[in-house]
Amino acid sequence: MYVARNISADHKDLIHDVAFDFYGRRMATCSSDHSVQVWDINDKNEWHCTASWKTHSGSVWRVTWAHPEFGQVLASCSYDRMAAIWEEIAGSTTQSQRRQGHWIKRATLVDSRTSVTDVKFSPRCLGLKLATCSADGNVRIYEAPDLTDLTTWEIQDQIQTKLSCSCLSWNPSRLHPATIAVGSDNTNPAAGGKVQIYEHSENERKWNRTSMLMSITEAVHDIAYAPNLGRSYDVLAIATKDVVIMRFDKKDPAMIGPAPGRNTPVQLDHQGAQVWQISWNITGTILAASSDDGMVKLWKANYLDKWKCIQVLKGDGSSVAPLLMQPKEAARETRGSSLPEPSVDAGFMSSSPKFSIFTSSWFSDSSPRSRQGRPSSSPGSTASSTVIRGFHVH
Amino acid sequence: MTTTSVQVDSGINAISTNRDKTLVAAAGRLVFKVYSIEEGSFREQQDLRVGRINLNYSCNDVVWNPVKDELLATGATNGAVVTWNLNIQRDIRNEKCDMTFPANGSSSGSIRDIQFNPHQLFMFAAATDNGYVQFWDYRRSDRVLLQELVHQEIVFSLDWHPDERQWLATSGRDKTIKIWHWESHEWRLRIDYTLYHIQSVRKVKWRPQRKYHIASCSQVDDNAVSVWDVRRPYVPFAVFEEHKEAPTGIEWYDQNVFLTSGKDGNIFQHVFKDAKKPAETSNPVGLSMSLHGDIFHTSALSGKNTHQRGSISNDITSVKRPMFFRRTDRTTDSFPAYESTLVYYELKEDREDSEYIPYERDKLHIPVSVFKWFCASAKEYQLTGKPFGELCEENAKIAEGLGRHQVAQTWHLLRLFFVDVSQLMPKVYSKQSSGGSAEVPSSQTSTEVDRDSANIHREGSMDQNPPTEVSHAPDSTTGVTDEESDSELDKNKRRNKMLAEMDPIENPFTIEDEENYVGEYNWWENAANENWHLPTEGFSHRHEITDRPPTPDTLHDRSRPSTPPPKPELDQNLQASHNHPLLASHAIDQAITKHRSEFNLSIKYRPLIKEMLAYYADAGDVQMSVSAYIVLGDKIKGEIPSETIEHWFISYIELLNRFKLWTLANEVIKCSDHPNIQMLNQQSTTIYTNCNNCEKGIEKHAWACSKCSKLTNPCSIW
Repeated sequence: MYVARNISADHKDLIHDVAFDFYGRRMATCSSDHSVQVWDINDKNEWHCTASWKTHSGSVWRVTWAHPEFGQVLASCSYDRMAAIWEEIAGSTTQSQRRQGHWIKRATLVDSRTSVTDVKFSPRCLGLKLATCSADGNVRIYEAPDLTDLTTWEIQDQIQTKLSCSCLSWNPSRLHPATIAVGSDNTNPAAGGKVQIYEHSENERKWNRTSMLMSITEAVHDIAYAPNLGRSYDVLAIATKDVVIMRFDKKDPAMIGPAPGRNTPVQLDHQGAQVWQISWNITGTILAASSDDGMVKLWKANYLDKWKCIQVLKGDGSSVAPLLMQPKEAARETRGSSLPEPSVDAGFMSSSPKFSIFTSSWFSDSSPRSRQGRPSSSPGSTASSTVIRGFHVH
Repeated sequence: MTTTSVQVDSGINAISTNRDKTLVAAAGRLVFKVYSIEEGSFREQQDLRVGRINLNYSCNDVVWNPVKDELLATGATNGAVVTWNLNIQRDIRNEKCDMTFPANGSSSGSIRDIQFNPHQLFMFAAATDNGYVQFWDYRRSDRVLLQELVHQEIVFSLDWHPDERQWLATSGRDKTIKIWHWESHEWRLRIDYTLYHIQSVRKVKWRPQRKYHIASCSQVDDNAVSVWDVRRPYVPFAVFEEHKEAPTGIEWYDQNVFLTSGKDGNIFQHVFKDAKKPAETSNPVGLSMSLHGDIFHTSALSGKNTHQRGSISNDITSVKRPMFFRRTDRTTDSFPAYESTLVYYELKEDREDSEYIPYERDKLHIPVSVFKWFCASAKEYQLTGKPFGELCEENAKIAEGLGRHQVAQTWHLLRLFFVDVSQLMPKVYSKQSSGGSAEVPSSQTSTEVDRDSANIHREGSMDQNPPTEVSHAPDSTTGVTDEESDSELDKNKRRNKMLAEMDPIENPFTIEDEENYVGEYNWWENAANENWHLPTEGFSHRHEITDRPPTPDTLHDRSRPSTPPPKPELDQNLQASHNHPLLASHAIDQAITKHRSEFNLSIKYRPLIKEMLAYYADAGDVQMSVSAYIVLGDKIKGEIPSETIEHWFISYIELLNRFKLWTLANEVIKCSDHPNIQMLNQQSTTIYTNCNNCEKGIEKHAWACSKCSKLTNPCSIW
């Protein structure tokens, strides 16, 4: 069930990115109006903008949070060819500071000659590192050698990908050497694969390209490794014309391992709509993909590793029952969504961008859903057929 | 028309086209050339920089005479204005100044740009270094018509709109372009639009036949020429990135073609169809999913809305105004609103009050949120402190309650793998007597089940409590009691207990206090266990102590021998059960069959369990893997590679930390047998405190603040 609430955001142009912090209690937005806003949720579950400040002199493409171990740190990147590091400092608020909160600029990374299209902090196990990529195809890895001094960032490496970069993602797995996947928005199919994967070699002290995904020929707009919580393989989601989910086995990262039941990467169909951004849930089992028709689709693999759309969220605040739902269920779902009708004309006519807040329970745990119906509930009984199948017991 | 370029020798400071746009003059510090623009290419016509060269010819600006095609004027860096006649080559005249306008007057500052008003013959505007724009009538040098502060810093450039008589664009070092509306009747400027440029703006030039479009280029550090729609102040409409260094001059050829010069010494002819449009390629949607499953989603308002807006305004104009007043210029109609909706999908339970989703719900496959089941399981899973079979049962129940049937079945399976069916006998009693919350009793009933489990050594200390209480009980049964509470109930209880002792299985008793009954029955059994278990108890105590050595490395080394190999343990138990007089003969049989069968089962199922744990980890439920691994304990020790175990534990601990379940995370760390994990809660255990008075971190002395020299509170953590 989704319940909608509306809050207006004070951005004066398109919002390009939203980012939850580590604990899901803060959120940052960035916009073409050169500003970043930080939102906090209060005890009543309401979001409040606690800081809004001009961060760049160009469209701010992406904003991202560092691990809270390093403090309340944000990184932003912009069309103005810079990436910036912001830190919130503790202290009492004076009237003049209120708009900016306590966010102060710690560093500006000015190495790029073109628009910086993505910025991402490394997984925590690698320390405090930052990767940026820019429209001229350069990926830069920065490191803060002193964790207490965020003003000093040393450029550690620079990778030339030869294709204009649009997005990057760190492999979160701690079993791997540092790995980055870079997506390109180059539209020329002849220019080769649009996703390249680079791995850092400790011995050579440089980044080597381990693979170029030749099957991805369309422009890539977002790329995201699934969180790796004890997985033995890596999963990479790529937002291109459709969403593609790829699986990499640890033993041979250059090869795409055959997932159970199929040998090809999974394509998640968005019916021709361009998917621009994707996001994994915390366990890496559900993928949310948002397309330019304003819809969000939630995808989840069943126990056969078939990806199904479990929910469609329309940008205007209503939710649509997914196709695989049973009719009874669908009825329930629509009833739930009809509770808060979003004020349509307010959304259209108001001068400021609108927040709508939804509430839902349509989320699943990781257990594959039994299609046999109600599983046996008596505790001492033998395993149901579903369980056996799930474990490949022969 | 295509994008073309010509390489001039060195940096160009300005370009100018003649009236017919057939010739372009490029002037720089070391260059002054005239090119003809022909179909798709530039051709050098004349090089005016020949012969005697002096500072006067180092050009900062160049302008073509709007009427006479052969006349050019240049402004030199030393302040000289030179006019050139192309027909009389090298016939260069220094013209004397006709008129001087005391531009600085009160507000001093040099003039950066001058533009004649195309609509008012005698008026020109000048941009000053200190942020002012001045309007002059060139027939009257004695007074400024209008002077207005337009920028914070230097005004680099200004341009009159070719069609809109009232509009003037200025650009400055403060990284803005401002569009001013000149209210001529009041002689003042009102700001209409402000554009936020990436850098200080060297040059602005209105695009012909497009009311709202203006081209600009930066002074430094930005090689792009941008064309803006003034109604969208933050994002350029089109960008041309051909120059390698900062562009300097802009000249429109027609509405779709324009020329620029750059410090890199190139003249480019830009065509609009080759433009990059950042607004079109920018990301219109954003998405983020929090750890609770909440989603923030932002998307640009769709074109549908903007279209509606446009049509509405058109309707209004058609109603209000007669046909012939309507603007014919179609390019100026509806302007899309560049706004985003920001949508927050919050994950919530249908029923806030319900802890668990009722069982019926699961039939519809409406699952609980990750957050809900994860936290509930993390809090309620029993990992230690009870016998193995019991833990599995409990955890299965918890998973069942959360609607996670596969997980529940797995717990059941685990129990079945390792606990022989004959050992489920005591369970029968607890079932018979079930109805109350059978937690205490059940924990005792199946101690037997798990006697062999290596866990018993750790749990040994927990089992110490019942015997001490119980030690009085035999007295009470014999009637020698200190207590006077000899109520009817107690008598009843005792009677029942006696019955139970005689024939525990067949006794069809009815009792009021079921819990007590089962408990005492089990106590009896437990006490029996104690008797033969006593010898080993001493060892387990020792291990408990050595279990927490000061350094993690020694811990690992010592904990190895502390967990004895299962084989001798079995023998010991067997022996114990043989020797014990209180155990009935069937109990011995049980023990034998149990040990034998478990031994076999564990061999048989170990790979399967390994696979199962890996399956859960792969499926994103590392919680199950870790919990099961802890509960299984030694049963699958050595089966799973140590680095995988470490990976699982770290992942699970990280998840717990993310959900702010720090104490649970610590418990998991304590339960692990991996040295690297155990290290985790022994690193950086220092607690830093701040002064309660001035909030400064306390460094040296815990009891006084060095800054405000006050004593801190005795209790400083909250």
